[in-house]
Amino acid sequence: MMKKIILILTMMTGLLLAEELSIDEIVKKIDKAEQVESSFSIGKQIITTSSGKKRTLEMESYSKDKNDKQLMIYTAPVRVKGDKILMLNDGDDIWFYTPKTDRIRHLASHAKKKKVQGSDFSYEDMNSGNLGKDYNCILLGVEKTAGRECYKLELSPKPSGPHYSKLILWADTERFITLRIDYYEDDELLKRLTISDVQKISERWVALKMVMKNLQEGGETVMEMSEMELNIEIADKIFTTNNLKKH
Amino acid sequence: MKRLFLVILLIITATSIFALEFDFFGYYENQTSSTLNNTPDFLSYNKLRLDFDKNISDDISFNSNIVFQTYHGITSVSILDYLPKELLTDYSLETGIPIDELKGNYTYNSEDEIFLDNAFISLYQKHFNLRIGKQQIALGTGYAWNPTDIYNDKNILDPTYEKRGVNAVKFEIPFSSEGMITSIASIGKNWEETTKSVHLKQFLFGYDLELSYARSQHSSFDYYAMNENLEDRDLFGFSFSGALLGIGIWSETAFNKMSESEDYYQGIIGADFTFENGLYLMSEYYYNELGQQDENDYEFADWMNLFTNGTNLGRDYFYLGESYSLAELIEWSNYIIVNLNDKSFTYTPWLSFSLNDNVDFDLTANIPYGNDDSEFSQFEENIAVRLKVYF
Repeated sequence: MMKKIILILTMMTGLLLAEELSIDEIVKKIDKAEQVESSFSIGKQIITTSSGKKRTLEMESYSKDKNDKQLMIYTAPVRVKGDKILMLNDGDDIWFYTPKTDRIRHLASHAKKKKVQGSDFSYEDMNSGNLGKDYNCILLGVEKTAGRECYKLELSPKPSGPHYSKLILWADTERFITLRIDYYEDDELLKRLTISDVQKISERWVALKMVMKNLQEGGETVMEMSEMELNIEIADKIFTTNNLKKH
Repeated sequence: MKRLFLVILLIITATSIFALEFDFFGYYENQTSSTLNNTPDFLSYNKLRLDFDKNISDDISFNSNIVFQTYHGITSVSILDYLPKELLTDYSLETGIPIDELKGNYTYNSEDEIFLDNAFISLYQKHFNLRIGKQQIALGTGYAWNPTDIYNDKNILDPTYEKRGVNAVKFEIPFSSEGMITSIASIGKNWEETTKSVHLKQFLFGYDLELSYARSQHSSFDYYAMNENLEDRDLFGFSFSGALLGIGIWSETAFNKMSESEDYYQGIIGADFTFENGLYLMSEYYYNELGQQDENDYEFADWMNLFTNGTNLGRDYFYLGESYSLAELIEWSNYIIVNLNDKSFTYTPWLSFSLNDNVDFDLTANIPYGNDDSEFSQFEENIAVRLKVYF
């Protein structure tokens, strides 16, 4: 009986704390928690198809100016080695470069919903984004996910946002790190992103593992970071189209 | 004996490269095609490309690749077999050369080859980049046609296939984060025969914009007098790519000022879109002032230009492409190229499978249709399989 009372009191305290913040404040805190001055990471994407076939891609990622500039360089396998994705202006402008043809392509907005290298992440999913800028947000409540108290938010994309009709996002009430996102199209659940292995690096909480499940096709893509550095010096010039052809 | 030599050369090269600590990779590709008639003809090639790259310092890199290629099956064909019979008979009568002899004179042999496809040094400095050597040069925004690209001929049946290296010097001056002035010179015997171009590129208001100027020597062959005519060609080009109302759009135009023959204009305009279900559609219109509006005006030289460097016969073309993911790791594409003047077309279905992280398998066909004397009716119905293994 005592245990139940403690549990109810704990939940009520959580709710009361959650209600202290307005939706704008929550969104600002999530953006602040997820936007770092600069970052460098090494990771891999493991794509598993619905039939169980696996493809593994390795990559290096750079970001600067609170994710306004992002660059991904594929390092393996040889089939995609040297392919680069440059995102500028919070992901509004995306360029793709492949050394096979030595060509740089600026992606039109419709192409941002295409799968990146056959994974379950689209170009727009890869963009870390900016909740305050790209979505109208509604707080649905507080809910536990992955063992953590989370704010549950409904996000309706603005014209500058992705093509989904809505997203439901769960963000840690304490660390303000996103732990889960459900992607909807016309009220149909398309994909689910779950985020785990949250660690403290350079005094910030950072997620090192992401799993995107494609609930329509049945496949999934796991993205794991094996190395991550935050707030480091990265030259501006690497985030330019002029630099993409540099081997 | 030749193959043994190839193998020994390959081993020596690979050993030397490993010793120098180069980054070593490449691919093996086999393509086998067959005509779809009563007595199918086969042509197959094996291609081994070995890449050797080395970053000498942060600002200097060396990149190279060697291609070993062998051909099998029907490796010898006469280009004249693909010409309308009436035109060939007329040409034979006018030149006084019997058809069989003519066919022999215009026989194309696919011979085994080893060549240095790319070998270049890149130097990256704060205010300029310099690349010297045999290198891929990609110009223009078009998918099936690139009127502003004077360095490459394009195969419209496989337009994204890698281009062969061009022996050139490329000098780039970045003047803003998304702006660049590029000058290219592809070395000829002398300055007159050196193809050179200057390009001004800038990303502005969501569009990649490029102005270009090129000067080259244009070669045309008189198949009756049997002599080559060279003249200066000045190309003034403009290209852009971007999006309008969510639809991808691009265009590329080139005005060619000729020193002796008539000036001409070539241009493309294209659009593409990806639907919510992943279906990708693209289209491109090509205007070619060099081409003829009436199929009866196609001349012997026009056909020869088509088969030797891919210059299309007609004036107006339409390219329509579709691509859809049939299942994970299986891509189904369909392309149709229409000559709007003679109403002939060729349809190319293309099925791509990803068999492994580094193994791709493609199954494709080419199904042409048109009147007897039309452009695409001369193409043969064929089917091809391509296997590519990266290492």
